[in-house]
Amino acid sequence: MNGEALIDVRGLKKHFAVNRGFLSHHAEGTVKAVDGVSFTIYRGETLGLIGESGCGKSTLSRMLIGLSESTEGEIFFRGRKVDKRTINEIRTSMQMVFQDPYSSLDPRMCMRRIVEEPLRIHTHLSRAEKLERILPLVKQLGFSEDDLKKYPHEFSGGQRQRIGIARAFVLGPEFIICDEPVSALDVSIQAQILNLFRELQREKGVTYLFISHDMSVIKHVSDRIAVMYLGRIVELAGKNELFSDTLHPYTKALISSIPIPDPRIHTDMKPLEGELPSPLNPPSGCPFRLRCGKAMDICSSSVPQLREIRKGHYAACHLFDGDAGLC
Amino acid sequence: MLKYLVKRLLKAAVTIFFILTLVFFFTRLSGDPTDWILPDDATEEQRIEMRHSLGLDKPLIEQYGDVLLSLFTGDAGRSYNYLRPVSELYAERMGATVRLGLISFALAAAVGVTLGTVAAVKRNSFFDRFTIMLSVAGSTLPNFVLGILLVFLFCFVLRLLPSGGEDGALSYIMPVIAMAVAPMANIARLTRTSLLDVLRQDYLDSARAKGVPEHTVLIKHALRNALIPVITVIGLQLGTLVGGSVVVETVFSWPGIGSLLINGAKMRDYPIVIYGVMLISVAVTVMNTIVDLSYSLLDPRIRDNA
Repeated sequence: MNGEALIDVRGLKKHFAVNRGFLSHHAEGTVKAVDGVSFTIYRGETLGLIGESGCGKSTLSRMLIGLSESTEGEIFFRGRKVDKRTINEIRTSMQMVFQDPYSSLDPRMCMRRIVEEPLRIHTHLSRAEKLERILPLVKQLGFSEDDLKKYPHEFSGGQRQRIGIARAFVLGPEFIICDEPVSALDVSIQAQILNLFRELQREKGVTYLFISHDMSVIKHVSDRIAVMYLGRIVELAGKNELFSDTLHPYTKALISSIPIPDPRIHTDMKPLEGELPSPLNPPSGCPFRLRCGKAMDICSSSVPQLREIRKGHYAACHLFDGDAGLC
Repeated sequence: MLKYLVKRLLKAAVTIFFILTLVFFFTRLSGDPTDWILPDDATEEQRIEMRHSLGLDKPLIEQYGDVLLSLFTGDAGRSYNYLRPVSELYAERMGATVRLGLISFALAAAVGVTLGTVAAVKRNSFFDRFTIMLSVAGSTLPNFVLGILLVFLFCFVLRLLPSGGEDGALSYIMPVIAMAVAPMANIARLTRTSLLDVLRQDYLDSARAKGVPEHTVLIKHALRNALIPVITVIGLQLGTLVGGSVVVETVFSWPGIGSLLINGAKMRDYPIVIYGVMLISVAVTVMNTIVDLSYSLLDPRIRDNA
């Protein structure tokens, strides 16, 4: 695992100003969608990113791929800083698969044009050459040549997501962000798409950032897992580490939320109570303290920082203040 | 597709037939045309003779049959007042109406789509709010009220523009504005709403992620999809522009078919009214049909269901 760092994110923040008013703007406050996130993604691995809706997963991925600008912090891709000037060169090696296959394909383009578009922008291939490039990929993803003429509405959800995958892979990228790529699909199709991602990774050696709010999906695909809560990463560890030696109370709650398909096994599953606090008005100190069963006095006064508690296992929780440096 | 086309055309023909029937019976209910044609002191014999020469003494059903038949022979009869074939009268005046309609339409579509697009892209900006207010005002103000206000301002107060008639480029300014404002407002509002809807779609982000430049994303991906419903409205507006011109032409004494129709109605000139209403309803129906058909060309999702 500990190979070459492909993506390095340092102190990344995204704050949105909230405005109200007619004909004029009054700043009502700031939403800290992503609030100081740092992590590294190594070449060839799959980093799973999990968190509830609204915790900043998608905002983070949009900043990584340059769809939205960060308020603060830096992103490095292969050691090069990603900014406005370099993003276009990096585009060819960084692609994204979107959540909703029903809205991520332009309904007025046929499949061939959708899959070809990246080639049209970044290369000067002729029509025949482009077709030659996309055909093997399209066939590998289970389509026939005739399907290229069809429009998105003629495909099922799973097929549409495979078109989205074809589009992301057509330039031969090194890094692909998968933003909840299976959450809009039927459960029966989910496994098929997840296996497809793995197969493509084995074959082409791509690196994934795989975002989901479903712990069982994340467990299936990831090498390492980052847990996000209200704009911050609260725990980051290798998959087996995270499941066998869970540190953060929030991660524990997420793991206990995975249903076990056996009625004879009883778990002491305690569902999380309450909702994600409004990011416009987050609690003081630790953002999780209001829903945490182990909250202490210190949790309301100081924000716990993400620290390496054991080798390669990071957590942001005051429970482990004493354990720091024990690695 | 062919089956759909035939079905649409049949529907259009039935619609026009109904309108014609309605107009025929309404005109006959409106009173006796000889009141207008003959002087007040005309004798009863003169009236009977006049009615006979106009064919108005025949049974109603026979008159109705004649009108329907005239659609196929091309001879729509003579105007009672002008004493000339109505088709000739309308042909003479068609040009003025079509010129006014097309200029207003082009202006409404171009400005409307532009305003709507800019408003959507700069959502919640001052320009956006201003456009919304303007378009609400524009679509609620009736065109003849606007026309009269324009005449008052530019003609009586500022003395810059002629109050009516078709005489050079200047004479077009006020009628075009009066006709274009309402459709422009509707088109702008619809373009804005439709584009805002499309701007939320992931396929724009996926285009950006591929590296498509922002203006191409806006024009090729966003506008192309957003304009599908807009084109429907634009098409329908084109049809109603012909009908809407009736009022505006009267306000500006425009020498088009609208003022001819209004005068015909005032003087119970049956052939003029029937022919005029038929022309307008055919124009509207044809436009609607074209819009329906273009819809399926524009949107691949509708193409298959057609």
